[in-house]
Amino acid sequence: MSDDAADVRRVLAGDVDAYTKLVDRYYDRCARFAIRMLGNRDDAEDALQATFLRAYRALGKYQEQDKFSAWLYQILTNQCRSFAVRRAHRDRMFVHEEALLLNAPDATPNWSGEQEEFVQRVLNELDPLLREAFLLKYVEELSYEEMSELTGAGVSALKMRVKRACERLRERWDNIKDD
Amino acid sequence: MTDFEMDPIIEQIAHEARRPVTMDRDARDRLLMAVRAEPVPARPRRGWGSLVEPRTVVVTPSYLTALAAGLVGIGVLVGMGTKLGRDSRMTGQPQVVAAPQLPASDTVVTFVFVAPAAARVSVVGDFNQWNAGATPMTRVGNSAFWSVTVPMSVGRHTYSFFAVGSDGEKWSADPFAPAAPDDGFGRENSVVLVGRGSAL
Amino acid sequence: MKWRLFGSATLLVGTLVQAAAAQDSQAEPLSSLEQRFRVQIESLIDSARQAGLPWAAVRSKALEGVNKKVDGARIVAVVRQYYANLMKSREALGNVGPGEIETGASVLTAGVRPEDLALFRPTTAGRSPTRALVYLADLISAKHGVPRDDAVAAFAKLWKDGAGDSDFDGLWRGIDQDILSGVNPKAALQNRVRSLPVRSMRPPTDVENLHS
Repeated sequence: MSDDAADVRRVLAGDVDAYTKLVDRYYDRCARFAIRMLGNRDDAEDALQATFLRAYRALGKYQEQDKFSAWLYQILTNQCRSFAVRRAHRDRMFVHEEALLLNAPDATPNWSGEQEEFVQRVLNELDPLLREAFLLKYVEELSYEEMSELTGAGVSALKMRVKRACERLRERWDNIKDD
Repeated sequence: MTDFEMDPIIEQIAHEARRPVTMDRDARDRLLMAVRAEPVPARPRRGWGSLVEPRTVVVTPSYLTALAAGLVGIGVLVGMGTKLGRDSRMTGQPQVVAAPQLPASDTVVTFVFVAPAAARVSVVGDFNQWNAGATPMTRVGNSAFWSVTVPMSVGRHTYSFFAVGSDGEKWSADPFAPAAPDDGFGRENSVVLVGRGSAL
Repeated sequence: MKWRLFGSATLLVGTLVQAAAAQDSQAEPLSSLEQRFRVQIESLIDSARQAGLPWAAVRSKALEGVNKKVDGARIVAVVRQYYANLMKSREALGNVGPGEIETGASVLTAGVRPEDLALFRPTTAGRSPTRALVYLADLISAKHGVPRDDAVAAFAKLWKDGAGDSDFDGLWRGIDQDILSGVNPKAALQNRVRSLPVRSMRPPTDVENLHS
């Protein structure tokens, strides 16, 4: 039995501290995904809170033959997706506005700063579905089959999303390097 | 990873994106406090249900309301007495209007596109030979909405929007219409189905 | 007077020539293609015409590539693929109109297999699968991401059971809305198909057609 499954059993038997172990094991990795996906730490923190709470409440539904990380990530990606939808309404922006605006508000950032910040900005400009697919493929390093299981999307659609994400990222990178 | 996408730029971006992040301990402590406040989870008594219930978030279409508000102006512009539907999906889609001056079998379609920062927008498709200059759109007042009304033959048509701004040129699909399959040229098109006096 | 006439005539001719040139560049945008590519495209258009396939759609595809400023070799490759899909579409759908053949070709481009496209053959006169196919292609695209085989099975069954345009309209709007709200695409399809109002959806008989 994996550590994860053993800890889940302990939690269900009443040992809440066992959940601390699960959180410790996955928090930072989930945090990385949430930050890359949502673009800022505050939203990421909220999404993480919601994710681990939902996971705790739904622990009884986890089936041991499934990978715990896959099960957890299903919750995490759902949370991030809901956040994006809610944020779009809150900001009174069209969900597809990134695709429509021609003038990015911060068109000339200080690229001599950290590479990581630059990469985050470029990621933020992607359509959320493209960003999600890119992160799952190249940051979480999942196979397309795993991504399909996780997101409920078809493999060919996911491949197309990753392809488009890469094209947009390359375009954006080239634009910026030209400035 | 031997995907064709893994060129050096993508490699670099992926490498940076994979950098670990550390959240402050407070966030994690707050989470664990919240967890301790919860009842101990239990296995459900009957069946398993789905792994994670799909959450149907009811969308209060605030952005679609904004669109509809803008479209009221467009309705007046078109002046055909079209009833702009309450169904928020319909208000975003190309409206098919029966044009009194044209023969009964012809219909016109009003295309609407949102591009606040564009200098010029046109609709481009199989009905105008994909000529980016053939069907320019006009901005509705000072809004972010652009529109044009075009006579179209009955049947399926594919189209896209072409916008020019200070940042350059951009092809965009219609977010409210069904997607056409990949055009093969690296851009996305949309579909409008024109029936006799009916709309997609 | 003569001079003036001459002057006007020149002006007129000049204008005509200019207009013609402007016409030309868009009346024959294919002329902007390199000769070797143009020849291949025109040959494909010709073959389509001879085969009784919608040749205007083949030409339109080429024009799309030209006006989207794509290189000639890629345009030829895409048009060739499209032509092949038009053929397969007609094979799959049988005796349908050019519009249906084009829609079928686009569905094949979207990744649906020819044997699955054949499930949408109209079995009664006056019944067009166009609307259903447009929605199917959209749902399995990257935009919505519904798994292909699930979508095909669901739509084929509805089609077979006699679902009409308005059924597909409502289904598509519901799934689109759900996915936009963040629902898992596979689940969105299943939920909405399951919740379709159960009503008599027999395909129309010929008697009913007489009255429509």
